[in-house]
Amino acid sequence: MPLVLARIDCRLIHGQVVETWVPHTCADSLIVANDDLAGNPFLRSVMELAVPPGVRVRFCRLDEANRVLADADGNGERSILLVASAADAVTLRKAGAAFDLLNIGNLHFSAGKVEISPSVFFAPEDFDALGWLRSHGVSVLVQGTPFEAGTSFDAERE
Amino acid sequence: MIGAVVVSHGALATELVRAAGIIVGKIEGVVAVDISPEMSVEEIHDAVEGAVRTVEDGDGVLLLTDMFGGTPSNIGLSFLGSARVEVLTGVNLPMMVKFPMVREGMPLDELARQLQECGHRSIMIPGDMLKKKAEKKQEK
Repeated sequence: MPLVLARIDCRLIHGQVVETWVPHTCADSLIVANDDLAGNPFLRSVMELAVPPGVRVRFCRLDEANRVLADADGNGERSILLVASAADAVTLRKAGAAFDLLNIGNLHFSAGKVEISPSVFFAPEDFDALGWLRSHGVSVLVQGTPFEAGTSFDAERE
Repeated sequence: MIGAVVVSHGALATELVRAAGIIVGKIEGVVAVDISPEMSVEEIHDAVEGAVRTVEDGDGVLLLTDMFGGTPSNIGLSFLGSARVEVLTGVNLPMMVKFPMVREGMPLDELARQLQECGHRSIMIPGDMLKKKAEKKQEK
């Protein structure tokens, strides 16, 4: 079973993901590829608490993601892949992760960033990373929840 | 589509609806009624009645009040039996978030029960859950 959603979300597992994307995509698996969390068992277990029963959660380092994705695929799981940044999405794609559509839910504000939506702000390096993904066949859609129309990254560039 | 009216002391109702919107996106068919101390019972009743009329489209309306026994709830109860209204007290954010996700095709009374259960289940002590998890791991 291919991924039902690949998403950049600096908050990783939180209300929007658990309450809207999981039911909307009928996902039964969450794969969080994040080097910081992979090394922090306490934060992992806190994040896991909010996930409803019946949904499997795996945390892995970026360099382990391909193995985990293949494992979930082999089990026939309907997986949502979560990464915290555009750079991490690029790392996974370069390693061979299979997603042609990339959702961006939350990228928090900091100085020098450009507002794309109320919850998504791009730094110059985000434009570069997403541009790279686009030129490698990945469509990028800024969409917090499945009920919003979403904005494609192409439109934002112009 | 089942509508909802959230009634509360102060601006809690408006902010609950706003907060839920941040998580699940704008919720259709919801009106917030904020009750301030200077409002008369008649004024509150009229405000709730107007809100119910705004969101009622034939499938019924859920009145979500902040606290059983409080004025918003007491006045909400006066609508029971009049139109197709169900009252649910002690509304919290998890219930607000669940509402638009489960209301499709569900009868009003069943929706009220599901949201009640969701509200109950959403109150927890995560520290205890983590302790239990750690104990289980040790047993293994």
